[in-house]
Amino acid sequence: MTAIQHLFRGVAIAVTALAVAVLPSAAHAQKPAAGYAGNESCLECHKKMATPFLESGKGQLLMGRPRTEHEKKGCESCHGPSKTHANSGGEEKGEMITYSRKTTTTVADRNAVCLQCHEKTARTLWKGSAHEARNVACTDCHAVMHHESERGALKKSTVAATCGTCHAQKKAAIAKYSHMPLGEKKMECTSCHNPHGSANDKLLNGVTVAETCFSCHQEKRGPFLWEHTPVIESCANCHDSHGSNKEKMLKVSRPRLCQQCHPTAHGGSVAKSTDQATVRFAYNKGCSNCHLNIHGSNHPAGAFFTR
Amino acid sequence: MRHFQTLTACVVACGVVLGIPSTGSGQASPKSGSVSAAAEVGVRTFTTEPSALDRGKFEEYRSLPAGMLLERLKLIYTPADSFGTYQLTYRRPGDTDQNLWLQAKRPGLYDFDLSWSRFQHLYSSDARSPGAENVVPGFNTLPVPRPDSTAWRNAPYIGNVRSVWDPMKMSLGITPTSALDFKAEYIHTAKKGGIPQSISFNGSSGPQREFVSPIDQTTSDIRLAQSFSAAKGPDGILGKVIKSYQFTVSYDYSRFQNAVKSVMVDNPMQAVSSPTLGAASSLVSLAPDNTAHAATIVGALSLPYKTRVTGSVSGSWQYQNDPFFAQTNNDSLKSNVNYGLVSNARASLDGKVKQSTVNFSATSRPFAGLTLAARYRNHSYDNSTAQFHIKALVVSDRSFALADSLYTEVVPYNKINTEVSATYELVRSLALAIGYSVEDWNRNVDERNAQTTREKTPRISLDYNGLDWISLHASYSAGERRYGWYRESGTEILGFRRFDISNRDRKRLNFLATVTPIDELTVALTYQTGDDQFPGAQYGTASDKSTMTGVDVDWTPNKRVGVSVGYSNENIDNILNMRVRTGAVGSATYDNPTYKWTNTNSDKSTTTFVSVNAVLIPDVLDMTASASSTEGHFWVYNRNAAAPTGGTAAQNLTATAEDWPEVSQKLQPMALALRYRMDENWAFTLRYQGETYKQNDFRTLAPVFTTTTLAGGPVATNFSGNLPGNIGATSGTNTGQYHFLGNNYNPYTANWLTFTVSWHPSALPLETGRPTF
Repeated sequence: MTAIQHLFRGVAIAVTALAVAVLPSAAHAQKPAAGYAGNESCLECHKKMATPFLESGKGQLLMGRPRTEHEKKGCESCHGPSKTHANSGGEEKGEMITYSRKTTTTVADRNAVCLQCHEKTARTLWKGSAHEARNVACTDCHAVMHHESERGALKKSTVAATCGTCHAQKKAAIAKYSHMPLGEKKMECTSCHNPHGSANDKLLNGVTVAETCFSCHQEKRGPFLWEHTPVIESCANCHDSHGSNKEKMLKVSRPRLCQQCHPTAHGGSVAKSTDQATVRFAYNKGCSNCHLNIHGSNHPAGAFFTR
Repeated sequence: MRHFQTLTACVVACGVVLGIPSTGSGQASPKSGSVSAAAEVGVRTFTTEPSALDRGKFEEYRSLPAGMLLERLKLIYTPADSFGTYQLTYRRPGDTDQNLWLQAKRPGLYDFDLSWSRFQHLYSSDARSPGAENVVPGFNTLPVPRPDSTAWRNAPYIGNVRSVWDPMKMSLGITPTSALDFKAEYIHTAKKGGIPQSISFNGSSGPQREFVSPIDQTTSDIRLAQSFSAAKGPDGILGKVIKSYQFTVSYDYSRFQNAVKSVMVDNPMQAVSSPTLGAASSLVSLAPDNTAHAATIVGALSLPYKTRVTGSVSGSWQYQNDPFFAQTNNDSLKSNVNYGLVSNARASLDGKVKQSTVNFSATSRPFAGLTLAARYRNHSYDNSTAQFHIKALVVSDRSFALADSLYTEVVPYNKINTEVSATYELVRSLALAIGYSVEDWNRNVDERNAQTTREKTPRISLDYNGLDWISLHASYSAGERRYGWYRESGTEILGFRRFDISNRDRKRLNFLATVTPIDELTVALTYQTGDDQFPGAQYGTASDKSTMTGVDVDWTPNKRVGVSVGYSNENIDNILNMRVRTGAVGSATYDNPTYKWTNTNSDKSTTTFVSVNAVLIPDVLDMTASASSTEGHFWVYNRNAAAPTGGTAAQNLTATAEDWPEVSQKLQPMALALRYRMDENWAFTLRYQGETYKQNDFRTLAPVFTTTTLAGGPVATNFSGNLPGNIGATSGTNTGQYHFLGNNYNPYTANWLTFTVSWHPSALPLETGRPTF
């Protein structure tokens, strides 16, 4: 075992132990401010709905260990002043902020509530993002009171299913013959995309398509002695990362894929399935039968990616 | 294995700290909190089981062995103050397809997360070879004398060809105050196994051999990020302008290591190296080690008039400096007069790449109903690796290509995106958005045909959500990409344009409607079209069109029943113009207009699914059922506008286009599960799953040829028989030119039952089989 492995193991154990250590509790008691009804009033009528929320991390924080004045408002830290609502026996909405499908609270106002606490880290660039511009509400994807997912408080059981609500074409693509293991739950849409906003195209996590792909396929990162230009510029030149009917998630079949840029290679031949002279270009891996290191080669004789 | 030890250590650490009793059963202690556990164990049995040779697609990304299984194990620690989440979930321990998740979270303070997932990517379960494939990683040998055709055709199966991924991710987020977030991540990924690759020993006409290339790679990534969020602006005059601000500083480090840097592959036709026929064994380089660093600063300001300004600056650096291999291991070439020219000018590349990215964006709502947005992005890719001169190249370990003018290539580029948009709410809940974006590329004209391209894309969209039962979105964009000047290469066909830098007219139409006529029913309709045309490209990609329609229906008649049904259909047609070139430069057949042919790649994909979740008897009997069908077809149409003329009969025949046989796949999984809850502690689940898979792909099924020669032989008429085969020979003592492992995802039918017993089932939700949506 190397020193790094020892270090890694030690850090892992120490951090785990630290993480599970019980920290001191901080009891609190708070009188509701003007216009606010207080948690007890809310729970008088909504206890059943609130039960799963109270068990969640957010519920524990807001209802049990608030850190700030805002968090101390509990239910009303998200729903706003609800005294009118409570005093009317639920008949009037008053200044409340609601999140149901029939709500009259605007998406911007609803999202502003979430961003009061969550407008940093991965959500710093939410405003101005593609989803914000399309009037997507946080609650279109997330269910705070009762979520279906193991992680992320999502309305559906997986990230892919959540994203698939709107992105039907991508949802269908990941079921195609050649796909990344999203359906098998080995990765998620968020492995590549940040739905909360990104400075990069297509809400990618990486600064480019290639950089995003290299987060799992580092062996293709290089730099190589012999670079293949389309690999550097974008993996999406050849691959449809969401799924394809072709092997290796290729956009079109080989050799056609390669002939797009190399029309005169091997005489610009028609690769025929029944012709011995050209079937080698169609068969099995097509052009990659010979050009195996097509993503780049560090072999001095690999100028044509054959070594 | 190293991951497993580490994870076990972590689990033990948790146990030590928590004082988990050895039984693992629920215990309560007022001072130290309590531990509860849940588990699901059972047995899986097949009524119809795919054979070992037919499991390639069945177990492409998963493992489904028959026998006993520990499906899920969950430990939950509840601290004395009931504050925090501490849980360990372990699925299928010991299986190839297993994962573990450990979470320790104290809301608002820290969030520790450790996940490990092992899974396989199975490339083939029916590969055959008369040699040793990846038995000793780095050496793929064949017997001497080399196996003949009969031996190749009757070669033994070599078992699964797969890579096993072991990604482990550990993260710690600390929130010392509501304004600060610190996150550290460590990701370690190990990949082991093999993958089919293919090499030619003597040019494109062979001999060629597919082999199992070894994989033994590890990656270590460290990511650190510190975020700060100020709910109010700074004191003083700036505070009147800046309402709030946030920033994040992050650093990422990534190291890739490959334990096997090369692989030696025996030539199937040469047991002794030859100066004219190639090497007895050739060396193929595998991925070299590399490292990467990246640093990013992201900042955001909230200003008056609901204005938000964000900016980011990032830089990344990639390095690679593995020693070079010799140009050839064919010692018989030493007698060649040019052999002295192929010595490496340098011992290693010392490769250095730098990327920099600058982003600015601003969005503002100066008054109700109007949103303005602008964005600027500048990304540069700079390869600062020192170029060096190549005097000669060894081609396929057989011949020399003198290259007095050749230098190693670097391909820098710069890409700038600019975009402005305005969204105005015409009437309540009806918003019209217009936008205009420009994308500029600047490339190295020495390496690319066009130095600059500019794509201008106006777009318009309409969103309506004024009624609670309907939501509509429609958008249309029409982009126009033009190059500044296209440099036609002397070796390319006149009028050829590369698709990624060619002039392009791109149209996109999207329509999405979500209708909820009654609370219990939601219908989502999707229609999308894409149309790329490449004006001015006489040769090369001419057009790329796609159409997708989809409908999803969710019906929840009551709280106990949920039904989802969906259908999607996608058609893609991609057209390319090509021309066969044969004969000497300047001859009638070299640039013969009648040798033009058009290729159309036509795709059709259809997906249908239905899923039902029902509580048949509350708190007693649950059901989940799903079925789906995913069908893919593609056709390759190759057509000449007119019959090729002007050459010899053989040349004209070569230029005569011919369609490919259809390639298709169809996967139909279904699952039905019933779970009976005997009481709060025990539940029993019976699950039936069935799958059928069909595939028809001539490319991985062997045509049987009737002659042993390659050129000019009669065409094959018989597609029966699996690989390995050697195209060019059916029998005899000599092998043919092409030697494949015989990878083909075989059709299969599988039916299996899984019976599990759950302890504390409320912590273990009933899961579906192969996921549908």
